Amino acid sequence: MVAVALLLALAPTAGYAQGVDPSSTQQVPGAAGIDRAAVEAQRAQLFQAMLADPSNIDLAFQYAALSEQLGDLEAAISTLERMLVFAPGLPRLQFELGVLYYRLASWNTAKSYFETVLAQPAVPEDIRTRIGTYMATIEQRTEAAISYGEVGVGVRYQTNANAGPATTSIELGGLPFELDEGALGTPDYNGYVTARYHHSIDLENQGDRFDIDFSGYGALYAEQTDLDTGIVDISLGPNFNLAAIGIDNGRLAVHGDFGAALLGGNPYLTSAGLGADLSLLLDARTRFTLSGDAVHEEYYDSDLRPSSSDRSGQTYSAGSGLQYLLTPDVTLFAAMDLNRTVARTDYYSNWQYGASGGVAILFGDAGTERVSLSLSGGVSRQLADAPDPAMLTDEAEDELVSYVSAGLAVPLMAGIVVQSNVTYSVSDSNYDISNYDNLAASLGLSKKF
Amino acid sequence: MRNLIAAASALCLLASPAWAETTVGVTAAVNQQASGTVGGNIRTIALGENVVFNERIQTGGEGLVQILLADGTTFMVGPNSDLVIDNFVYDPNAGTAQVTATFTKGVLRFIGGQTSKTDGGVTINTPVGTMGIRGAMVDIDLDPPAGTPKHIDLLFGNSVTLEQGEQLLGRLYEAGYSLVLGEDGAFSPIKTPPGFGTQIQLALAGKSGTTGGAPRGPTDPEVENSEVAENNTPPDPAPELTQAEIDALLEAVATYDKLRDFIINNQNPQGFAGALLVDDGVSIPLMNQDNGTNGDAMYTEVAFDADGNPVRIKVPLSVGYPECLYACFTYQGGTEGGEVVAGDLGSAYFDGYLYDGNNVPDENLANQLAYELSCVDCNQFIRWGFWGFDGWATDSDYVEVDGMWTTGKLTTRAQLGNLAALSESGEIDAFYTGDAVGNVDAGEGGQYVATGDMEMTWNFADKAGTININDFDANAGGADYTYGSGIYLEGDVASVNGQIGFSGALSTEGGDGVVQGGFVNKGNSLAHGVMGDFYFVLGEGDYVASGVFFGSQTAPN
Repeated sequence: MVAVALLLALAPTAGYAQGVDPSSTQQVPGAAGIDRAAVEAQRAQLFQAMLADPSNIDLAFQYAALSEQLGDLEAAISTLERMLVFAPGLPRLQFELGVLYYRLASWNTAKSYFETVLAQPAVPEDIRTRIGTYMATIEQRTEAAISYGEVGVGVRYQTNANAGPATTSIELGGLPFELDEGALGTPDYNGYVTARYHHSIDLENQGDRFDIDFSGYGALYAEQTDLDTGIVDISLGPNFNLAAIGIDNGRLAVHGDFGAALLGGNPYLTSAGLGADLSLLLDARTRFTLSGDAVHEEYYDSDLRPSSSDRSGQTYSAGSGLQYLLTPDVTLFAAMDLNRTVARTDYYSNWQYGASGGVAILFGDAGTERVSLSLSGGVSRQLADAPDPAMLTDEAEDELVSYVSAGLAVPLMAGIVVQSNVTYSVSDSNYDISNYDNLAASLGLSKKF
Repeated sequence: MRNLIAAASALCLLASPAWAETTVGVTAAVNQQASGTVGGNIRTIALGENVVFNERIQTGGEGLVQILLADGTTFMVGPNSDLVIDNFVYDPNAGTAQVTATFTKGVLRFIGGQTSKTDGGVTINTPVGTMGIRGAMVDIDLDPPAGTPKHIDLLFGNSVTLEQGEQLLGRLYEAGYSLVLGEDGAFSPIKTPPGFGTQIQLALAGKSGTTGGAPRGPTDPEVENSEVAENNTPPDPAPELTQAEIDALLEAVATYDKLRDFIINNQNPQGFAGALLVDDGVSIPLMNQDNGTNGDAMYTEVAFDADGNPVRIKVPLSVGYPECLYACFTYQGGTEGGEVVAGDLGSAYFDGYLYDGNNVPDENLANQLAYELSCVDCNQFIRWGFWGFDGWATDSDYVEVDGMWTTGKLTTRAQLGNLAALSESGEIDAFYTGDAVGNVDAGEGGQYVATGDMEMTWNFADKAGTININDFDANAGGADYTYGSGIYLEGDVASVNGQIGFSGALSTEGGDGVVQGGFVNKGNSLAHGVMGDFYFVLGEGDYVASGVFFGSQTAPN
């Protein structure tokens, strides 16, 4: 129950796919909202006219514009480079070519064009400023090591912070029992802090990198201090460019993972494991991911949880995900996962499988900090290997957890974002004690660096 | 529907009388020298002509050809290059294309069309191996400048392989990497050094004054107002960085900063100025006065503030009189004030930007002039700009002066002596190319600023050389040149009477003039450039021009 609560708490951060490089794409999606077939047909006709009259500037401009709309920046480049032969050294043309190469992540060529423009004796100030922004990004993207991260702080309210049942009257083994009041589902506030950091070192081997990821989470509860949480997780390992073996737009990250958690002020869990993540860009709009992990988890007993160590064991996970760029502003995502936990005791061992999906929508103009809205939902079923003897039943636990979630991120200034989230989750189990529902609402600030 | 259109397009292609079955593409841009050879028959190729199978395209020292294939693939063939399209198959219905070419020397940029989307679509045979290009934009340099190895650069796309028979010599699959030929004869993939891109771009850039064969090229406003620019660089995107952050990053980035470099490298820069003085409707050319002893010019002096803005100019001018008559003056930057030795100063201007007649910055004209000038290297060690004033001269005439100035770190007599010691008489030690900018009074053609190209040869031992100003006023700021398609001036220059610099007469059809100048250092590179001033007159003063020139060392043709 605690683990599920922690997972839901971390759900807004799930966008950081472990070991996956979000920055590499070899294809450029074209403009949104165009009739591609019609534009392709028009462009084909223009191309024939251009073949017959290659020095026609108007035809060339039109052809380059349609190519750019279709995301065929190579055709736009070859057309503009031809026009540059007609008008050598034309600064605005060189600026446009620099931006086209920049959009293809061809940094050296973009930089050459930008430097040539800057060397002109009279560069309009707005062009100079824009080139400065592009050059700054090129410098950042071509550095041997790239780092970025995010820290956040906030407050969350839950109607059922301890994931307890709604009533003290439950059935165990078909017999009615009264739970202690303290076991009831209880609302509570908690403050939380989050931190994420990514460091990537270019191994200068045609796209291979070494990635280090750190994430941390801490929560202090107002009333239910036995739920006070502290989690850290470190993952490190190589991230290979699969183009080396002929898989274009694919990456494979292999990583070692180390984690630790405190619960209620006591050591709760340490873990160590290995994982691998495969990421494939199927086309300009679609990314597919496949991941697998094998982790040893060691749980620790405490006064609050004297039998936690029964949970110790190995967890093997496999997951897949799909992200689809419906429009430049709208991303659909879906994921499936399958986990096998082999714990010290068979009633803590289980199979778990689930699926989730949602949509992320960006508002505002591209190139600015944008408002994002995320809507998601999921279901997860966990089947224990054996009955829990404390439940006085010969049925193993069969628990179905489902949730819906909505998150809104609004940028303020200087990289600070207001993050808000509302999640409603329901657990339906054949063990009454595991039946609960919970509405959680959080509000916080985060800052990227 | 798309297949119908594609099929119709293909039929149009085949049915066109200009598109013979042996045709692989067209020459979409051509700078001479460029030739095509088929079966031993050589022709000079021009823009818009068909390229056929097995036609050998060769370019000379300034030649540049873009070949456009029917599927949208382009080969940009640089100077001193040799390319043959051996085979080209295009099926517009299937959207597949295959091309095989042989590239034996020079520099080439390949951008794939449908060939990029076809497995095994592109094969280029070279003396260093056979390249297979898959979905990529590639630069190939088989004749790089001295000190740079032969290299193949993956600019964008999927992969490039290099094979010799069955042996894989190298493979690129990440943009921003190059296969370079090492001294051991093996190819290695490395991160593309920044210099590779700059060298290729210089090689594939048309020289100033060339047109690619087109009757006209685009202008900056046309590009700015085009749909391409509207989508590619939409106006006023909210910057993610503040202006201060951008400025700081620009400082940290390794780009040209002509102001800072110039100030750092050139303490107390001196130079030349040329101007037109209009007195009672008559234009009189002005140049730096000589010092009356060994023929050296009294140099124009320019002072810059900490931001690199010119703030003070002192211009010793001569109109043929032994003394400064109109303006030996020191002028503080701005539009007001200043001291003059003789006469009262009216309004004046002095800055790096061109002002119109009302002393208002004319950025359009400045921008147009910017694209006409070719000497990009000059911006690192030579500064030039505009100056002028109008006011009352000592003879109570109201005069207007419009001029140019150019300054840099002049090569000293001792340094020139060292260069002379290393020089052999009769050889060309240095070849300079650059620009000439001047004020023109074309009579009924009006008054305006014009530009031209400059070339100069020099021998340090002989202290002599030649200078040419070509294509002057062929494309001047909106005004129509009434005498033809550009003025060509030539002259012999020499250091005479112990001059540090040089001077000489200019001649042209129907006119003559005078030129003087000096050598300019670029950091530790002595006499890396030249600069000076000039004037010439056509007819009986029907056309008068005066201005400055500047140039940088390049390799001779």
